[in-house]
Amino acid sequence: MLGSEIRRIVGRRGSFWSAVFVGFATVVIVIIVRLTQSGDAGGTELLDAADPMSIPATLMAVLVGALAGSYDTSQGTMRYLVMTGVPRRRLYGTRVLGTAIATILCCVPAVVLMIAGAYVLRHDSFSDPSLSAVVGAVWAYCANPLVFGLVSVAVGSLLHSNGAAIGVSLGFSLGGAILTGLIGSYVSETLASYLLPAATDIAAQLDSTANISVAAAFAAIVAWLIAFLGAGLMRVLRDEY
Amino acid sequence: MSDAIIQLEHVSKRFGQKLAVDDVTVDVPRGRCFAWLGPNGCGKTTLIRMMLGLAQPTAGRIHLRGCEVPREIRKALSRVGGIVEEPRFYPYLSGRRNLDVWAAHYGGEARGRIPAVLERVELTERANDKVKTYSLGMRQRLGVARALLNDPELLVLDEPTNGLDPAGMLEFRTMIRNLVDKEGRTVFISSHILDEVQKMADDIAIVQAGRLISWGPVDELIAAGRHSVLLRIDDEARARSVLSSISFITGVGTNEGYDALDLEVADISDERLIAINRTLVEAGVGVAEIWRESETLEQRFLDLTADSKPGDMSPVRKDDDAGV
Repeated sequence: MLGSEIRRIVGRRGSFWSAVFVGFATVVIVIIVRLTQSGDAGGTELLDAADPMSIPATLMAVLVGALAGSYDTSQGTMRYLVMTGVPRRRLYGTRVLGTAIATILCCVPAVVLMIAGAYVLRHDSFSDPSLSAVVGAVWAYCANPLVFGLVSVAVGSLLHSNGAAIGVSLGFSLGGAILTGLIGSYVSETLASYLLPAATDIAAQLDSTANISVAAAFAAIVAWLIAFLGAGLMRVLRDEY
Repeated sequence: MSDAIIQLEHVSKRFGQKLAVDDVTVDVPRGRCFAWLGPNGCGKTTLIRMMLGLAQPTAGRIHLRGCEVPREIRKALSRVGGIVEEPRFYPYLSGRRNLDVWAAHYGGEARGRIPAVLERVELTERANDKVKTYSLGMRQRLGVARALLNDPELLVLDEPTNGLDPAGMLEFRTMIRNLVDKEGRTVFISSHILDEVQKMADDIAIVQAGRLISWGPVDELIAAGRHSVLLRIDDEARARSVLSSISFITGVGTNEGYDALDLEVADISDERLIAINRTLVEAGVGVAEIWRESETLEQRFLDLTADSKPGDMSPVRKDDDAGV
C-alpha cells in the first residue's frame, strides 16, 4: 500500500517534479551567485545555506502535501479505497507516511547537488565539509519541507477540494511565518518560539536559543503535528463518501 | 444460517430534515441478481453507501455476508466488489496501474487477477493507456474489473448501465447473468430503468421516497399484477351479458387503444382463454381477435408506487414469508 501511495504522489507529475525542479534550481542559483560573487562556491559555507535554500522547497512540499491530502476525496477515489475494507486510519496513515517519503524524495536532487557542490566547488581548506556538517545540512534542508508537507497533508485531508487545500496550506505556511514574527515582536518571543515556523527553524538548525532549547523545539513540532494530523484523521474517520 | 447475503433491518438514514432511507427491512438472497428499483432521488445510492460502510445509518442494522457493518467492515468487504454512482480512477495512471493500486489494498491474490479481469472486460489492449484517455464505457468496464479483483461473492452495482449505449447495456446484462448463473455470485443492482431490470434481475425491490414498497421474485411480482384478456367482437352488449356469468372474470372494461373489450382475470391459462372464446361463440358472438396481456413491470411499478401509502407494505413477499 505504501509503495502504491508513493507511486500515486510521484505520478502527479506536475506537482512532484515541479517540487524537485524548484528545489534543485534553487541550489543551482545559489551556486551560480556564489561563483559570480567570490568564486568560492563550495565548502561548509554552501552547506550553511541549506536552511534558507530550503524555503522554495518548503513551499513546493506544501503543494505536494496538500494534494496528497485532498486528491482522493476531491477525485472520488477515496470512496473506492474505503470500499476495499482497509481501515480508514490505515489509509490515512499510509497517506501521511507516503507524503513524508515523497517530500524527502523531492529534496534528494537538491541535497545531492548541495553536497557535491560543497565538496567539488572551490573553497578554502578550512571550509572543508565534515561528515557532521553534511548530515546537519541535509537535516537543515529537509526539516522544513518535511514538517510543512505533513501539515499540508493534514490540511488537505480536512478539505474536499484540491484548490482550497493548496490555498489554505500555503496560507498557513506563509501566514504562519508572518504571524510568528508579529507575535515575537509584539507579544512574546518565547511564545513565538513555540509556534511551528520558529520551532521548525530552531530544530532545523539544531541550535538552541535563549527562548527555547532544541529538545523543546522538537517537542513543540511533535505537538503541532499531532494536532494537525489528528484533525485530518478525525475528518477521514467521520466523512461519508 | 440465513441464506441472505445482505440483511437490512429497519435501516434509516436522515440528512437533517430529509429522510433519505425510511425503515427498510429486506433480505437479499445469495446467488441471484437482486434489483433495487426506484426513481431518481429515492435513496438507492444512500442505501448502497450504508451497506458498503461509506455512510453511517441513522437507525437499523446491516449485515453483509453475515458480518455486521460497520463493526466488522473489513471482513464484510473482503469479498465484496462495487461501483457507486460512477467508477473513479486516477486519470494520470494507466488502467493497469490503477488496478495495481486497488490490488495493493486488497492484498492476497488480487494482483495476480489483474490480467484475467482486464481480459474479462475486454480492456487488455488499452490497459497501458492512461485512464484519462478512456471513454465512459471503458471506465465503466474498468470499474467492473476493479470490482472483480477480490473474487467477490457479492457485487454491488449502483446504476451501472448509466451512460452505456444499447450494445453496452446488452453486453453488461450478459456479463451480469454469467456472474450469477455460471459463477454463482450474487449481484445487487440499483436502477431506475425498468426494462433493464426486468431483463436482468431475478428479484426486485421497489422503492419510493426512501421506503420499500414491495419486493420479491420478478415473475411473482408480475404475476401479482393485473392480467387481461382482450377481445375484438361484433356485439359488445351481448358479449358483456354472456361474460358476466363467467366466474373467473373479475371485471369487464374497454380498452380504447385497441378498441376491444378488456376482461380482468386472476390468472390467464390456456383453458380459460379457450373457455371464454367457446362461451362467446356458443352465444352467437363473433370473435375477431382474442389475446392475453399482463401488466409489464413498468405498469406494475407505477401501480405499486401510486397506491403506496406510508406504512403500507403490500409485498409479493411479506416479511414473515422471507424464508430465503
